[in-house]
Amino acid sequence: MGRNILADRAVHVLGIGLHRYQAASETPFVQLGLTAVRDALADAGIGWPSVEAAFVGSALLGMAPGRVMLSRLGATGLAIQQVENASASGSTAVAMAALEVASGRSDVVLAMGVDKAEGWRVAPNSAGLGTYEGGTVVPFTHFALLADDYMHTYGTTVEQVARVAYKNHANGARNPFAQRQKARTMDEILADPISGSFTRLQCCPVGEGAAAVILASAEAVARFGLDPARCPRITASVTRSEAAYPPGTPIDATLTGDTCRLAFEQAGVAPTDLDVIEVHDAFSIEELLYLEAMGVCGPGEAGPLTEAGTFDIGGRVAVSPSGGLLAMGHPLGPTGCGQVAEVTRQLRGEAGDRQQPGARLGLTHMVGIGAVCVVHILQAGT
Amino acid sequence: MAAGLLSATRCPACGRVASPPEPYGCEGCGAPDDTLAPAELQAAGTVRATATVHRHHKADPPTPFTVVEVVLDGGGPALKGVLAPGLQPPAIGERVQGAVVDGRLVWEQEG
Repeated sequence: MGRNILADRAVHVLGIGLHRYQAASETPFVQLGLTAVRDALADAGIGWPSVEAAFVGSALLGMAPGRVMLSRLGATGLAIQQVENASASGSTAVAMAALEVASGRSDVVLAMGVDKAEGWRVAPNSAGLGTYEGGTVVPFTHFALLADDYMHTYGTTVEQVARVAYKNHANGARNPFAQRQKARTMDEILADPISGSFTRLQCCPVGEGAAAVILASAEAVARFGLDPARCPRITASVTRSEAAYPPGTPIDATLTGDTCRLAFEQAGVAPTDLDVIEVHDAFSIEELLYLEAMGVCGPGEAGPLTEAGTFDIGGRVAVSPSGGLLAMGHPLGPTGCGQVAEVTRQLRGEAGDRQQPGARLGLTHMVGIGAVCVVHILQAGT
Repeated sequence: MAAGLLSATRCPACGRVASPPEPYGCEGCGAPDDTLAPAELQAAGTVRATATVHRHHKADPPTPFTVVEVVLDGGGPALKGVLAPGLQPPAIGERVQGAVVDGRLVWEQEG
């Protein structure tokens, strides 16, 4: 690994903003995106002309969504780049923005995600690689197979896996930006089978929305006269892709473990130090797999600990307090930015009735088709 | 149905086996495709996981169908395919054999 430039020049979150995640609608992406950016500017208390560069995460909008949208805040001529990295597009926009600030090239940078669930084109499907699956193994079945293997290995029950969705739907019910804002009974969670042990409410909704975060240097925080306690610091930003693992290695969890290890090293913290985690829980089993891969708990422990409330808001560490992908939703481009927004809210102590008490350290984690993984660690401002 | 043979490639440099055959270059070490040796794998192994699919975005295959992930004998890759129609899903650890039918790997219990 090269130099840890986040240690050289501090990168802070100044402002966060969201457009609620929702089912597909006629709302143009420009409207979704501008709502989130205006919200973030107001939250930061700065004007649009102060933003020097923008990274726009989207996976489905196609070419050039950035300027046609951001110019409606006033076409200042700032640098605009689109970032596509599958489900991790928004997280990668944050990573690029953090690098932009840490490098010293810019002082104030926007990272955002905006998307609409239409026009899916997935490059690996047209890569000219052979397959024996003939379109039968879509993501929910890929993870249903991992769930079956996991439950068999550790004796975890179908109900313990489903408890992830029970918890995250309860969290989403308290998040005004969540696509699914309804607490569910275990009977509701376990109804309506999709694949393997997964049911409809154990699979994330893919809709539309937007999320924005404004990053800046410590100098900018001081220059604008902002309250440092409201400006958490990004202390790790790590992006990795799947390596050539030995045959039979569980790819998503191994990639997560490797990426998180580098992030913990970069931030100089341990997994058990975390107060808040926003994890890629597109399917219920993933939260269990990734918590163990991160080292938050040991192998096979995540199911019983979820059932015991360890990962509830108010538990040892709040996991997916936003509702996660399962309840807040997974509109692709916005998702990773939305995670950083949620952790920022938590570290500021501004998360209202879903506040994790005393939250000082948070982590965001996304994986994307490919596979890629992006992890950030944020430290409360002082 | 007898256990079929699956086309594969084996990398002479690092030993990595790919099935279906690797068309571009070895993921293990980067050896170019024209150095990879053709190989064949027996479509037989033990079940690692199953999932019966109740909702599918296409009419083919009709639901419910079961996807089976199999660890091939001899340390090859884990391969996913569909269970032959009309069979009860196998248990984890059960032995299965497969064949490619119309481009899809189809598994059934051995014997």
